[in-house]
Amino acid sequence: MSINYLLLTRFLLILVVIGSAFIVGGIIIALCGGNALLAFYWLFQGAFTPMLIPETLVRATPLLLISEGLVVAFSARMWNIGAEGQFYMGGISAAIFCIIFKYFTIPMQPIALLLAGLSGALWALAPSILKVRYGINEIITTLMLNYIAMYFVSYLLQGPFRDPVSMFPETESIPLHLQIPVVVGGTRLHLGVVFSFFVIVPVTYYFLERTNYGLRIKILGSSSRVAQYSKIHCDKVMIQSMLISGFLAGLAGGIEVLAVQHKMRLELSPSYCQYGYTGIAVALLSYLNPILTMFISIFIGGLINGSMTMHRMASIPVGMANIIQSLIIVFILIGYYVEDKLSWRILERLRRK
Amino acid sequence: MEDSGEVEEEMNDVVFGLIYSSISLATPILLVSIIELIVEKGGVLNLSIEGSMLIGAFSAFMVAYYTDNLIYASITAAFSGLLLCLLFAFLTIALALDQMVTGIALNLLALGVTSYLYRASFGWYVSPIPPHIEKTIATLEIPVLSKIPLIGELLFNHIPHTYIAFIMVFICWFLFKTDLGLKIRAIGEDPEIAEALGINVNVLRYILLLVEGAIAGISGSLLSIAYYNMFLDNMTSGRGYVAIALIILARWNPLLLLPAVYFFNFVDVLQLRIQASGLAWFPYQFSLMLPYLFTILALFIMGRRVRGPSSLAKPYKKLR
Amino acid sequence: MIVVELRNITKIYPGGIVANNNVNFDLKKGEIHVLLGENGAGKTTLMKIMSGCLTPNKGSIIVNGRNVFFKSSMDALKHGIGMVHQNFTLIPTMTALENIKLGLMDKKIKVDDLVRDVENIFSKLSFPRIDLNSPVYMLSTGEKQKIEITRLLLRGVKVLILDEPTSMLCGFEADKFLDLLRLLTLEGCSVVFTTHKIREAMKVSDRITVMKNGRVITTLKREDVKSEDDLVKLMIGEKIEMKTVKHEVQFDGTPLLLVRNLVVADDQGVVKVKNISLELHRGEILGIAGVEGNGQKELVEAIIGFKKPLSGELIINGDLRYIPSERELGVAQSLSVLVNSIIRSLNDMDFKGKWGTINMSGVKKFSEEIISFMNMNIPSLNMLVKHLSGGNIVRLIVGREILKTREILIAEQPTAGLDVRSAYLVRRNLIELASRGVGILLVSSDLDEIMELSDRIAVIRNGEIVKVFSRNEADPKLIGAYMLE
Repeated sequence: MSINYLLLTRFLLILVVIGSAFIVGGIIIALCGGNALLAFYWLFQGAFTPMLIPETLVRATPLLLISEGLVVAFSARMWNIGAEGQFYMGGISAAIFCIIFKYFTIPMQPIALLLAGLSGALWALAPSILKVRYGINEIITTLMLNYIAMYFVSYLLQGPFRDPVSMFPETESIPLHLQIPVVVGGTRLHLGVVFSFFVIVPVTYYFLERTNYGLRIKILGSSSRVAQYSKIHCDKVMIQSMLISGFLAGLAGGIEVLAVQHKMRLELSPSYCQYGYTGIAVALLSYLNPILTMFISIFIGGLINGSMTMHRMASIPVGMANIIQSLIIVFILIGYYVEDKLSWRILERLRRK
Repeated sequence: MEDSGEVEEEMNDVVFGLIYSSISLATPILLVSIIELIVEKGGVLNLSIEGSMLIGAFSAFMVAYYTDNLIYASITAAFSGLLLCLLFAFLTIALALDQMVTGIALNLLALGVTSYLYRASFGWYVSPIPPHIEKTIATLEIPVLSKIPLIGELLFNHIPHTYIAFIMVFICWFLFKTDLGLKIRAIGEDPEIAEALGINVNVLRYILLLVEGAIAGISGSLLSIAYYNMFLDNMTSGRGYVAIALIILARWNPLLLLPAVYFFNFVDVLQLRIQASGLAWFPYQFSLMLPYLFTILALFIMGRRVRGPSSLAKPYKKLR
Repeated sequence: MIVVELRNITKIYPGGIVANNNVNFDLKKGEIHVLLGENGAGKTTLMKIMSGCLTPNKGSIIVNGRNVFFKSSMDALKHGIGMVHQNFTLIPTMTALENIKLGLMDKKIKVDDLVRDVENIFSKLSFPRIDLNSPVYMLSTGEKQKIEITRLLLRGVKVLILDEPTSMLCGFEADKFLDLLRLLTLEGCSVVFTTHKIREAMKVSDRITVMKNGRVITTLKREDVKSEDDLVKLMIGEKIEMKTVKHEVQFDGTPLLLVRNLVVADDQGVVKVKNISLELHRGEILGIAGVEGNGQKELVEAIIGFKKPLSGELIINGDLRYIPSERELGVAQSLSVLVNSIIRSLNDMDFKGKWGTINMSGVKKFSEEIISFMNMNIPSLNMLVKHLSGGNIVRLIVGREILKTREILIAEQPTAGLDVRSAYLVRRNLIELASRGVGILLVSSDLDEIMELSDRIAVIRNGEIVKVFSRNEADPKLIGAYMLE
């Protein structure tokens, strides 16, 4: 009963946060001489018309996977800012694997994806160990590794694995039999989308909310001292939650390469709204709830797509999506504060009854 | 035909250039690290200095581009950096939100806003020659001292900010011997007790953060109107975070911070030279990676289990 | 001549606890006035109001004949009223001198002068030398007190309030401290200190005010008190009705818990458990009596496995449950009551479903069991623990641990924060557990509770067990003597 009030408050806050972000974004557009209403009209047109929904889902998929991973890490209070780098490492691993084994006719996609996930996890390993063993702030280390990953991938794409026939820094195309197939004819909606929405989401939810291990993660996130007194192996849980997060980010990269881009390129993640950082917004906005993450990532995915339409039709720079996304992060943080204050009021009222 | 004398001269030039650049280009990081050190001693971990620097770089460039006045540009940079830090201060002090997450959030916001406004002003795909300004901040020769052969040119021929940054290190060291320094340390160690002793923790933190914002803004402006004459997306490239790492390495001691910053910068400048020299076998991406790898390695070797001010990054709520 | 008067003071904490109920109190110039009462009687609250740390809901404060209102403790300091808190207002990582300077920030004082002034006061009050440049965490309790008092005197404080000043001092130091109070009054100060120790009240006071349950029972002149028993009668009261009945117990065979020559250090590396040996038998309640800070915390931490002992043997022959005195350690604040019921039973088969999942119905059943067992009144199991009242948090923790105790229970302050009825319930259950063969290690600062429940009482002082009493040997005065001497 009281919980319903709290859930309602939370839901309303999410709406207010999104709305406020749009209002501020609109103000910025207006200040630069644009027409905000027209811009937003095209934004939604480009995202949620029936014809474009498959594209929105495609766009949402890597975001979803990364965010689910971040939900796990953030629940353990491990601030993984390195999802972008892990995403790229996953992508390049999958691409390289497929190129090396391109003459094998058996479907190697699962192995490629597994490798992508493991690469992402590996990229998250060092920061997690440094944090657990030596208390080194993981925000700095994961962020540094983002830059290192980008440069490393850039080197690989311009050097050893460069496509001989293309003039862009990217790998050669992945042969058809190693790509992830499309499931809805006429669109780009691929098997990976189905897998992410129908497998990863419920598994993550179940894992975090219904298993013993997920509970340990949440206790650790609540307070490391309480976790110690509850005989939880804090070190193990901290490292493992980071690895899971890295794995999902790497997996996202692998899927993006095999299903959408069909090759690895420097711009796997849109430069104006990078998945690794946008994932942070999604995870925080969904209050670290794996089911809510699904809806929010569809919304943000639509935002990213819509911003391209907005650019074409209303000449608004694509970076507006980025601004709205970062405004969302700032506002949801304020939202946490408001929710906390409101929850005390609600409980006072209930106690009087 | 080159004789050994000429080669030697070239080498000297290279070494000279390296050392000069190490000192000169270290200025932004040095300025920001010193003020962040003071803020951290006061118990606040402000990751959003990265964003403040970026906003400073952007606004300074824009003002310089349209008005040709570097003084206005610097003032705008200070002001815009201060605004972002004010937002940070409000969120983390008044609302007592998590300092680390808020810092990251504001950095992302700064990145988005600067890129957007830059594009909005100059168009989405910027032409091969990006918009740039004509004059940048001039170096200031110190009379007499700069005439000393070799040392003079090396040390006393920099932009004024460099001298100020250097002096600030010693001001900082001195600060912690004063009463004000004692107050700052107190609010960083135990804000509740400090409050009970009559120190207004929140007001002091606000002031420190506002000063930090202005300094960060100016440091950022050096990138776009002093060392280079243009603005690029994400120009600061993580320098703010590096400053934070360097403070940890220096164990919050300003006198150790000075060599830490210069050494880091030396590595940074070195990799620029390696790139420029065009060593064919060494991919330029690896030299670009160097500063970041170096930061992680340095933290690994020397940043273990380092204890900072006891209440660093902990939200403080005034009880009544 | 009255320096400070508190009239009709009422203070109600959010949550409804009435800490002070229409309290009247006054302090005469140059006197030592003792505020005597049990833990939770409201003494600290009253003193915090007098020193400006808290504002009362009703009532007034009169200083030197004028009505005043304190917005903060700084206001009170300006009127010459200063308080030394039980946990001190010193920053542990900074030096003594720095702490003194911090307390004098609004007055410009040069360092050399400051050191000289401090040394003046030290010699006037016959303090032994203290290294002013050592960090405060390295100082003993007695030394910390001296620093605090010095700081207040340097501010020109004339009304000195001390909250439980002797609770962490050993006997010798406590007596010297009481002598110090006399010296202070000779310097022109008026002193009020709170305590629950009758002996001290008798030793050094001019007047004694007895408080109980937030009210003042009476104020007496010291010369009108004939014996300690008079005070005992005033302090205790309806408690006698709620006393539990304990039968004699025989112990058998192997002890459940065996501690031999244990040496444990605290977080700073200071050795707190110097050489402790004890045994806990089946069906026994072993009470650990002692002033807080004498090693109980570290002893318990070693037993539950949270700290590694430096040396010695620790043998545990059974399943161990634990009620922490620091209640925040027992609950995950941001999680629900439902989830919190099992955070210390994560490996319990009752709550495990298939393939590593949680058996939600089992958890729900257990939560409901705790709620009805401890008579908790909460709107929903899904509410977050951080929204629970302090009392309910204690009920949750204590109820959870008691219900799950099979063989051994370490209970730290099991009734602190509970109302009389719940405390009685808990004590009754502890006895019941013992009668079923459970061994209980009871650590409590409530000597009455220890005496009521324990089969044996081990007195801990300075990291060692100085004496073990059996139930029929136990005498509060004797135990108190061992605790403090």
